[in-house]
Amino acid sequence: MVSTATEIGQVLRRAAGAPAVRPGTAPDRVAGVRPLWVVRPPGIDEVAAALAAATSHGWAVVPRGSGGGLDWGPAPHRCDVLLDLTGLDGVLEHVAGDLVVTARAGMTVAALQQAVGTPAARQRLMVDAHGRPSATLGGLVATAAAGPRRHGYGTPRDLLLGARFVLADGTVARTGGRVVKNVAGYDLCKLLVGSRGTLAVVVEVTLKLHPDPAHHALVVVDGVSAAALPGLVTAIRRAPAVVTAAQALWPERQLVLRVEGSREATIAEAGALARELGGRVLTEALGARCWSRLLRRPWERPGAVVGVAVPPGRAGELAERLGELEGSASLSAGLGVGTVRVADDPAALDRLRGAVEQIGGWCRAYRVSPGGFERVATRPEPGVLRLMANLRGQLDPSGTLSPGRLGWGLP
Amino acid sequence: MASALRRVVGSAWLLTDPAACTAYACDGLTSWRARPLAVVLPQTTDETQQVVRVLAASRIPFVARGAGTGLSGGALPRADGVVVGLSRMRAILGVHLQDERVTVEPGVTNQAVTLAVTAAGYRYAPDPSSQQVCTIGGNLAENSGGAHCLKLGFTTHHVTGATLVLADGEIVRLGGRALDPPGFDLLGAVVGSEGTLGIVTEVVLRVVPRPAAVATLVAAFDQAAAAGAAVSAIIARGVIPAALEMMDRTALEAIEAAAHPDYPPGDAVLLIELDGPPGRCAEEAALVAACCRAAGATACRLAADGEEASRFWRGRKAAFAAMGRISPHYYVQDGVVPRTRLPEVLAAIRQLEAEHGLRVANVFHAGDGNLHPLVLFDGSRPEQRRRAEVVATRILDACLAVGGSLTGEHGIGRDKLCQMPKQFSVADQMVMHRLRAAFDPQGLCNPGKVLPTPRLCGEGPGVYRPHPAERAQVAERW
Repeated sequence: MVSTATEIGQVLRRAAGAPAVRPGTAPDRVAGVRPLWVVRPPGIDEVAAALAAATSHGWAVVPRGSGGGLDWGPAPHRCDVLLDLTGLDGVLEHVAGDLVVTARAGMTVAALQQAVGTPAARQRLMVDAHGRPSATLGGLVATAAAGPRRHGYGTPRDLLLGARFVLADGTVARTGGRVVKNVAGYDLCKLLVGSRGTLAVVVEVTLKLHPDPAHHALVVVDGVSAAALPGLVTAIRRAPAVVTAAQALWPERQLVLRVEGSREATIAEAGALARELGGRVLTEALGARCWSRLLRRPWERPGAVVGVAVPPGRAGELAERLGELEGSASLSAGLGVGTVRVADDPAALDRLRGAVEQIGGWCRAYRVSPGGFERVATRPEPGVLRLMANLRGQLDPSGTLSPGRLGWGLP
Repeated sequence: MASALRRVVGSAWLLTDPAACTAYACDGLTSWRARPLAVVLPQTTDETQQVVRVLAASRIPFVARGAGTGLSGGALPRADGVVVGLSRMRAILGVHLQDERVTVEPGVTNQAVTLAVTAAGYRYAPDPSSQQVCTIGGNLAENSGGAHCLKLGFTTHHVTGATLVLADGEIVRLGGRALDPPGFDLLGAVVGSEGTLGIVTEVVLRVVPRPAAVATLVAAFDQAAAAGAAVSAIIARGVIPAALEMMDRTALEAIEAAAHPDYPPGDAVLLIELDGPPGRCAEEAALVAACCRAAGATACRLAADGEEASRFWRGRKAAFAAMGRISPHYYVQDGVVPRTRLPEVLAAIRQLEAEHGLRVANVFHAGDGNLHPLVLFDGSRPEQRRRAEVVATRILDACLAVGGSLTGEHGIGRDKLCQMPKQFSVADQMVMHRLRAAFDPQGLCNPGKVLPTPRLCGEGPGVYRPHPAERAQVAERW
């Protein structure tokens, strides 16, 4: 069914309420594709109504949070409606004693941290979100955004206990729950994390929190060689210290470690770690600067930013290849994951993917120019692609949500 | 069909004799039984693929089976179906310590993984109580937990790769030694899917270094509710213990008689294990002790040495075997509540005991709110058995009423199928049906589990009977 832009606007106003709907403008573009309309629903009912309307008319909808990761990956084939979820704001329930919070998906990470980090609760959602506090909770889920502290706390995959979501046809459903241990039914949370808005629109999330440590310290080891990296990682793993981040920076050849806990434990453990590894403990002021630099680092200069993952023991081999790749890297050394920045040109992207795959790993595209995606992103094997297409077909048979955003010829 | 299967695995590994097939009629939940048409025991991924192709071609439903220690009837066959037993696939394919990974076949036992890396100072973290006999394939299917999952997570946090044979025979490799594989996190959906999305024939597991120090404490309380409050207080203070277990008065009565762990006297005992760097361990032990005292602990004791610590654990581990001393039969329940709601749910259980004139023993993973109430009854009195079923069901209702879950580690399987609508709406279940259809459109892979259908839901839940492995004392249940 072909509808004019005006007709689409009328239907959307009826579905989500007139104040929620405005025409799309240049800044609303999704990887270069300008939406006809932007809908910012005030609640879940309006999200459901807008999606149901779009699906029944065959329009394409791209969900959006803060927009920080919106340009990652392939451009959508079409974008009739940009669904701005920032109207779904606020904490629904924070039970401090359970270390669990339920919030609407449009809430920012920064606002959530403030809500759960009150002097009485002193809790924290332990994701660094690529150093973007303006990211929304829904965006975290869609992009699986993590950061250096995944060494100690995992990624949104490990922290998402439950979610409420809307399917393309407007069906509102839940998965998981509000408890930390739960094996009832399928765990759709895992599928939603990293699905980039192609399976459902997440509207509420229940997340696991951690106590916000009273103190932390950074230890820096300089002059790390690629060959020494595996040994250092083993030493860190076995060191009597609670290390929550172990980030290897290349070409600086630096290892930055974060220790968290009570003041006494942190000071003692950071000191011991520095002695054992031949590093130094940063002062609080220096540490704060180093940490914020660490979070911004992959993004602050131009170039393609690519997510890489290799078998953890082979992180050193990847570091060794970075010279010839003319890249810089920030790797969670113990996990074999991180980001690499290289020139955003076809030859550099090809070389990077070749090197990573040769080491037994894979690449995913974060910030790359259009056309760079298929060059640099490791292609899932055919069976995985088939299952992905089946899942899309089952949950969004009309192809309403973010069509084409998965790449690899998927709907 | 039988001759086609025989060609794949050889005649020794296809069982069609009714007596032999009867051995596969149930898993650890013995109240549900069905004798399968045949049992086929492939030895490789390739053979599994061929077996599944033969079955798919004839549209014969099948269920994969490991050690059969599951407690929700997840490995219950169908009378018109086939059991694909994976017990011959028990090779440890590779130990990659630099990567902190071990690659295994699905029939390898949980404990064998830890044993393979113990000398190097590592362990496989999830530790279901049946770890000596339960297999990794089954652990993956059920997303198994255990006493030591509070800090380090469940099976889903420790599987990084798997080879999956889909219901049509296609082989799909999910993940591997590296994290973050491209595409959807299909592995995350497969773990805990109770064998309904395919058969896993190879698994890559994460292993973790053993902690530098361990501190083990027991604290006794006058009231179970006070112990429950201490659990919340410990978590809220920012301490995440390696394990945090609770035993109530009825359970303690059986335990003291059987294992003499020498716990301080009380109506409830908490067993708490902390690990990490030595300094931090001591610091946290002091904090935990303070939390317990503030919640009204009458005694709090730190194990002086490893020997005392193992004695404390021996009591906890003997709990279920010991239950026979105080009751001829018991019905096992598995439910989850938010940790802060433990006191009120424990009080609700007391209320149910009084109302129905039956005793309930509680031995459970308190740190993550995972209850394992045992409803005690005399099976020679049918009317008591019925009351026990009612109490067990009501306990789950109480869990759900405070925002909990039907199951924390035993799974839905066949046992709790018909209770799914209490926790999930029609829309929630519809989404799960669609997920299943994306993997197995014909519905051949372990049908009749996890997702309720009108045909299956009209019967009552079953009653606990000991598994042969338990009777032989080679496995514990919880």
